[in-house]
Amino acid sequence: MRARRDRQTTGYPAAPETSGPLLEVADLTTHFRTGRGMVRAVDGVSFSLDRGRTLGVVGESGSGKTVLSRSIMGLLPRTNVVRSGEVRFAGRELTALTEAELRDIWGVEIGMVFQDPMTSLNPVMRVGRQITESLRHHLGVDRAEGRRRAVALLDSVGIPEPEQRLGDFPHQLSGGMRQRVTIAVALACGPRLLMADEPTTALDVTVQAQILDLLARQQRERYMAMVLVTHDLGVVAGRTDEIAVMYAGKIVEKAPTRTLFSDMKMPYTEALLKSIPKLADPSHTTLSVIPGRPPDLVNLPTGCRFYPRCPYAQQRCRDEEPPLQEATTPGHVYRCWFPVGTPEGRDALDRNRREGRLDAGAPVAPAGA
Amino acid sequence: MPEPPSSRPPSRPDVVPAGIPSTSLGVMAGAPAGGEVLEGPADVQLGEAKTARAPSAAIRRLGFAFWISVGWVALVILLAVLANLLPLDDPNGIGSSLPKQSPSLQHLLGTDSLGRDIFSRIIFGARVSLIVGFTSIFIGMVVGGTLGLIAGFYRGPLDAIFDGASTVALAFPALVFLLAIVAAVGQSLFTVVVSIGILSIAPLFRIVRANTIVYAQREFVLAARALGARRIRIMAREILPNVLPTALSFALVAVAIAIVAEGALAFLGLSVRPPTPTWGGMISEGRTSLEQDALICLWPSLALFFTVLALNFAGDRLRSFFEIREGGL
Amino acid sequence: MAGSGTAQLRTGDALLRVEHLVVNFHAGPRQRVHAVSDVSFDVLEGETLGLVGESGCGKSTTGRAVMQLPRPTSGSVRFAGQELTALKRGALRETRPQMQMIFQDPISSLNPRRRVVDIVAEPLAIWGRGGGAERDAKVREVFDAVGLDVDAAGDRRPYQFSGGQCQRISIARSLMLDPRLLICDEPVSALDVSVQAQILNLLADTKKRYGLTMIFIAHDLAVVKNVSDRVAVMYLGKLCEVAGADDLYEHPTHPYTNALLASIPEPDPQVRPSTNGAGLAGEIPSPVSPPSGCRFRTRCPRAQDRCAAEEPQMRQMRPDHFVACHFPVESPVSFGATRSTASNQ
Repeated sequence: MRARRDRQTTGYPAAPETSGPLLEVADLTTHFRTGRGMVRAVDGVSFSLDRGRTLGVVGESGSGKTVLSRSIMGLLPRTNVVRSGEVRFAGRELTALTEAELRDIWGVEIGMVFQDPMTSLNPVMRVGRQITESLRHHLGVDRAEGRRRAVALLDSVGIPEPEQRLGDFPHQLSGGMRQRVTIAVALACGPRLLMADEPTTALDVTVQAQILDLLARQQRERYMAMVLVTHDLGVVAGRTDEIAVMYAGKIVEKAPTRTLFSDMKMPYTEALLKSIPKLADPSHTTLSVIPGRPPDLVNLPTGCRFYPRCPYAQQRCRDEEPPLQEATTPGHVYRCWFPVGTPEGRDALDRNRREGRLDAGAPVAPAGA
Repeated sequence: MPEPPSSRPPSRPDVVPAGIPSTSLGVMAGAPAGGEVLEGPADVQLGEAKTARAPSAAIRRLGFAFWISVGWVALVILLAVLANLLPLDDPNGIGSSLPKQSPSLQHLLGTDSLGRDIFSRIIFGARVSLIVGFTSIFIGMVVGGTLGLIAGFYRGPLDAIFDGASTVALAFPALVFLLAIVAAVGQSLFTVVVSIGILSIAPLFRIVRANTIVYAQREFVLAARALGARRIRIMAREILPNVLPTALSFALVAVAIAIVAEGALAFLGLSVRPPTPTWGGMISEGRTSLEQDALICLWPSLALFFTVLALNFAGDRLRSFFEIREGGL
Repeated sequence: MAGSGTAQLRTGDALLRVEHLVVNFHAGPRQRVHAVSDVSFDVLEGETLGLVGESGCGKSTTGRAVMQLPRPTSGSVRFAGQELTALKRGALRETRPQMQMIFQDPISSLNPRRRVVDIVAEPLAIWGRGGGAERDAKVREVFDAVGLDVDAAGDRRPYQFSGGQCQRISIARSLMLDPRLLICDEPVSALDVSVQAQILNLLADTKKRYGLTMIFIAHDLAVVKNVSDRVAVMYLGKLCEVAGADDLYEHPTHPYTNALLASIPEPDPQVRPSTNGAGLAGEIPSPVSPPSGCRFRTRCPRAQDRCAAEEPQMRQMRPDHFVACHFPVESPVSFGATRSTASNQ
């Protein structure tokens, strides 16, 4: 209700509201045909996201998190892609839409912010026009109104002297300012969902904090839903309602943010968290690392995909793939036979420690590739 | 979806500038812009183990048409080299056969208005075209490429002077230059080769310089300096191997342009003296009898056309091939 | 902050001693970029100095000026008793094997056209050291030291490796000449956190194994703290604060250090990042025309008139803890307190 009222008062077109979650992804699979075989980048991912909520998607390079966000949007190469599953956005099935129909959703209903602002902004177009263009094209506002809104938008994303900045080209702005501009472009048409793919990876920590604050404020004020994709658990810790951890194309753990940090079940989540250097630790603390690298998405291991790197791994992990099972907290699911913090998990870890195969036989740095 | 792989830093100067300067005559212009869009998922490419690309894969990736082009050029070169050993008629044997015969078993492509075997003349004519094309561009490559490497690496006043000189050279009308040289020195194969070679220095200088500037800023060059490598070594070992593929693929296109330029000179009667056969000269001679027998003109034109097309295509294909490799896919 | 002075320099023999380092660049007609302005620091044998600050603070330029790549505009760089700025090109080249550098972009720092085994062997080839067998043995040793298998990896080219592996290859190359000083210029900024941990541990192991002295440049204080013995905080070409790594984090004294600490994303949902301007507002000013007096004053919550008029000098606040600030944060109790201090603007 509140979303609708906001949209009407701000003059954005009100799309038909439906009950149920804003975004619902069911068993989404995205594979790429390559010379080496089928790359299973996204392999059966399901989640749903309500209005005004924020989902963090966390994973290493090669976990399929970026492909997941692009697959949801329908921003995939035209050839050699096999996609199945459902993506329902505000009651519409996005996978059934043509590209022309999707173009009315991209930038209007769903805004996008990417890692590198320099590639998402047009380098030869002034900042002002990049914002007004989508306003005029999608919302049909006139030139003066477009300009007025562009100034308001730049102001709202914290760009000083917005009127002067309208005439700048992207290369005249600093990295942080450029990312603010891409956020302004993404917000221009008042989207209901914001997809932010590594929005701060290319930025300094101080600017990262500013940009994350900005995203959080905009998301709250506009009552948008947001998907925040990142490799850094620290980035999503304080700023999301729910977190999905991805590994080798699958969601391996998903939980409300506080639950995930206080009661994580998946050894991978634990390992990811432990690999972040912490301020509270004294200097020269040896960081715990996840040995090896994510698996080749063409030749995935049998059983649990994390077992070759997992300190808890047992024979069962190699033989049987763990299903997504529910934890005690509602909304907390994970894929593991020997979860963290359970007697089974402790036993498995102790056994591995005793037998000296904490790395599950994987060398810390695998040879070659 | 040409998105950069996600975990790579964004500021990587991936794009090799294939800056193609144009000249007043348009002699060096018109090389098609290469560059192929990478298709594929962004972060998938990185995570997966990358296997070494087998040579056979590279052969396949260059495409069928590329190998046809290379085959054609190789065939022309082979025939030109072996011309004396082949059972061909004397290309200059005036009156040894009836003029303007149609193609037959004895004269595969017929005879020209002086009764010379056209097939034989085309093969001997290829010698001139190929010598002019490859030798002149070789000169241009050695001189222009070396200067470009030095100017792009050192920058500074030297670079400013060379760059200014190349701008002036590119602005000078090429045909006027060729006419002046031939008029002053007299027409010979040597004159033609050297003058076209001189003309190719400026554009090849530009290509090599632009690429050198890009690579000289890469961190591996800085790393080599930090290791104490001398500048000559950095240029030879670090920069040259990166610049060379682009430069060579552009040079193939330049060879095609030089062959056309020689044809134009011959057409104007300024290339090698008759009766030595050249493709341009044959087209020029056939022009007079174009209405009675278009074939006399057609055969050398086709030879020129296919050779130039093949060189252009191969050069262009090679360039995009190297750019993809650079992209890391 | 953002002040000058040499109070932080220690007496005795430092492996590297940098005094009054200035690096200016020309940026167009009559425009000069003041990238580094009067920076002094020293690094003892076996020590790791962390150099931390935002993009544009001059930390990378400082690292390169130490290497004389390019030579600094003025100031002194003494390395192992030798004044590098006074050396002629040939003599400077002779010092190169003792100082090596690792760069931020792991892919750009390797020549894409060469096999990695050749890249790693290149330092010996440059110096003509060792015969074939000796070279092979050394290459094998450094590959092993960085956790790569030379037989499986050696014949490949850099684009066939991930960013983390490329960084390992870079480290291997830097070890070939047995350097004494290793300058790491943002070596983990381009990597995933999981790979970052691997590389940080590798650097720590390497340092121990080869007895290295290191300068570690980064923008993330948590990373810098992990690897450093001593940390120098830089802002807009000046030093703000120099202290032992643990001491700096326990008692951040400069307002800018506090702001940097507040910006680090805590992997803990209990610490809700306050969105009312904690951390640092605004952007780093242009180094073409830096602010007068203290260069941080335009973004400093504690700035007074005096900060614009007078440049703060380095002074000692605690044992081996130096700060260049007129109004330092006296006694922050904990990180919570530093956060609120920074947000009191």
